[in-house]
Amino acid sequence: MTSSKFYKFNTLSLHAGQEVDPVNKSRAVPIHQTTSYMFENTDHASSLYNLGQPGHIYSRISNPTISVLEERMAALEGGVGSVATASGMAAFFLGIATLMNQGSHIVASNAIYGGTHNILSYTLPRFGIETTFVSPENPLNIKKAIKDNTRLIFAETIGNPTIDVLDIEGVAMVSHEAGLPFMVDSTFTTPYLMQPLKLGADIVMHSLTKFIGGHGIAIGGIIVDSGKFQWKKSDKFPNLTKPYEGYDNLNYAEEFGQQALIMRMRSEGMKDFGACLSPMNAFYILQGLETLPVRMDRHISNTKEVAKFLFENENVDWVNHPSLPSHKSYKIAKKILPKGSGAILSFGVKGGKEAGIKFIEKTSLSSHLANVGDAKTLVIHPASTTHQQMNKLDLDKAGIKDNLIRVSVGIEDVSDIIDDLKTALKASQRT
Amino acid sequence: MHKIINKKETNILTGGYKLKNSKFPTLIMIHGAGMNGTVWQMQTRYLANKGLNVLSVDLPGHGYSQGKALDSIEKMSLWLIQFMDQLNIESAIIAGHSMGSLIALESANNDKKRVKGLILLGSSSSMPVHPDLIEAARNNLPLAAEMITDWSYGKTQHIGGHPLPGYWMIDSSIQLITESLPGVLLKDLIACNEYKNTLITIENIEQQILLISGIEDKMTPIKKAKELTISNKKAKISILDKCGHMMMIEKPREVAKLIYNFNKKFMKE
Repeated sequence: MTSSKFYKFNTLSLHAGQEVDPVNKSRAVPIHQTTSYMFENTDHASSLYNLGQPGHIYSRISNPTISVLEERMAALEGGVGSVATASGMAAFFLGIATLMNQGSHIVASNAIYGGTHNILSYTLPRFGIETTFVSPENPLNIKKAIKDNTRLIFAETIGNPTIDVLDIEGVAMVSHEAGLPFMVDSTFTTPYLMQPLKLGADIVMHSLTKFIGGHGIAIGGIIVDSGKFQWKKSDKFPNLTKPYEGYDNLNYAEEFGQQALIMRMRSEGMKDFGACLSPMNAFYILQGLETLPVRMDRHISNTKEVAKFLFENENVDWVNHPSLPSHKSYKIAKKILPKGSGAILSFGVKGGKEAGIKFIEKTSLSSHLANVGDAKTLVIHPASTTHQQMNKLDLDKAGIKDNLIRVSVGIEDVSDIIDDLKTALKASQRT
Repeated sequence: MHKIINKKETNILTGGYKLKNSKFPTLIMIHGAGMNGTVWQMQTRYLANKGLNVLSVDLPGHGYSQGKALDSIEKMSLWLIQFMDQLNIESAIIAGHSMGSLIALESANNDKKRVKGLILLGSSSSMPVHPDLIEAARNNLPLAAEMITDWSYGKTQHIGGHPLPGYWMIDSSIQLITESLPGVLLKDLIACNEYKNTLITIENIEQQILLISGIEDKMTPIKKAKELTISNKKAKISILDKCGHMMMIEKPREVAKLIYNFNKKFMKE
């Protein structure tokens, strides 16, 4: 049998989306630091504005450097296309605001990033979009929360900060049975560890700021569409299936088929909301993306050793990482994350909140800051920082204890990371 | 828009515009095997905005058109003539891609009065289908979709760099073919494989013909496309650089302009 010969992941992470500049032959992706683009003539200008021909008009809508990043991420995720945004939160909002209107409802996992929890809990309700939060541990919880006006199911591949692995296939099945799209935030896993679209998710989003960039120097986000959801067969998404006055009554699902969501997000969302990525940040993120596979391998091997160390340390109450047989997601992680279950772990310091605070203050090599996925090891105390807007009840529901420390394991020499944690743990127990 | 053809709902893409009085003949666009009318999405809106009535059709059983897929090029051509009859189309240019180019040829030969010109994209003197692909279309549609995509896109396009921002051709193509209804791709491929009249038919064509070929096309290689110009001296060929078999997607701007310039020749003053 003849087999297909597509480029594979490592090759795509270095090359996809870049047609080498035919004039100057620049090997690196050039930084197109420009706001706007010359039209060839009035016919060209008209066709670009009319969505009649592909191309760039203004960098709020699209930009050649950013397009390379978009195409590369779509290739790595196995999607039909993508739109990059100013941040992961901007990507999330772009998806929501494109798919739904006032009166819509979302069912979301309760184990999600604090910022996402905030927009769903407080900001979107001001615009008439409500959310029901449920534990994603059992997809039936999601099924029970679906209402007539539900328009989206949302969860993270690995819950933040409890590190539970989502049963993507189970949630996708529940979503599709209800005729709803399933969007997943795959920031913690990256397409190197898992491609959610291949497991049944319809839309995947990322904060590019994290592992994709890896260097901690540029904020960015992206939303990738699988093109699989049949908008035209549903009456729940009029933004895609009814004529849009903004473009001469264009019906996106009718004319663009599998590209409908991407086209609408760019031609309306990027134009109207304006949360565009800067070309310079796209360039920085592309530099990171080129080495994603090798960095992730190192992140994973270091994380396994750190998890083992913490699990065996007398000053640690508990450790959450799916590589540990004691973790409730151990089995599913083995199945859907065969290369490794990410580089974020959490643990409880013996001695409660006070000991947790001492631990943070006594770390030296590890950086205390509000980020994950940097090449450097990072630590934080979520209850007092990233998740401080959540009340005690919501914190309990999301499994966030007050002694919980989140570690984003970096790619330093693992013995140095362990030495730093060991020293801080010892110090945390001193009275 | 939807129109009823032979009592079945037929899905037609118009570039998002309502049909109007036009100085041009109606442009009918026919997709290839296992695909649907959205393959022309990067041309339809451009052409419609320039005053053409563009009808990018989902063939029966394809995309959102009802009915069973037809099992021979001759039957597909007959359906296309019925389509023109039932929509009262008096003069038409037919653009066909791959399998669609065979349908276009056959229709032009059978309706010389109404069909004013032909644009044949990714066409060739014969379209034998690799037995492995037929086998995959029969038993493993996702594999067939991968094989078609791999062979259809030029090596350059396997890396990308598409002019439509963020658009990833490879998975878009796989997804499009995988969405086809069970058995449709197989029927289409067998129809291509069994149609042996291409050279005889093109010899008989009196209308103007434009061939558009991709230099990296493995499905309908340039050499086989050029054989068509030997059989019909009036046929002109445009060869696209860094392009495979899916020229409407790989080179959207170039193809849109070639189609427009061809249609301009038929514009009423």
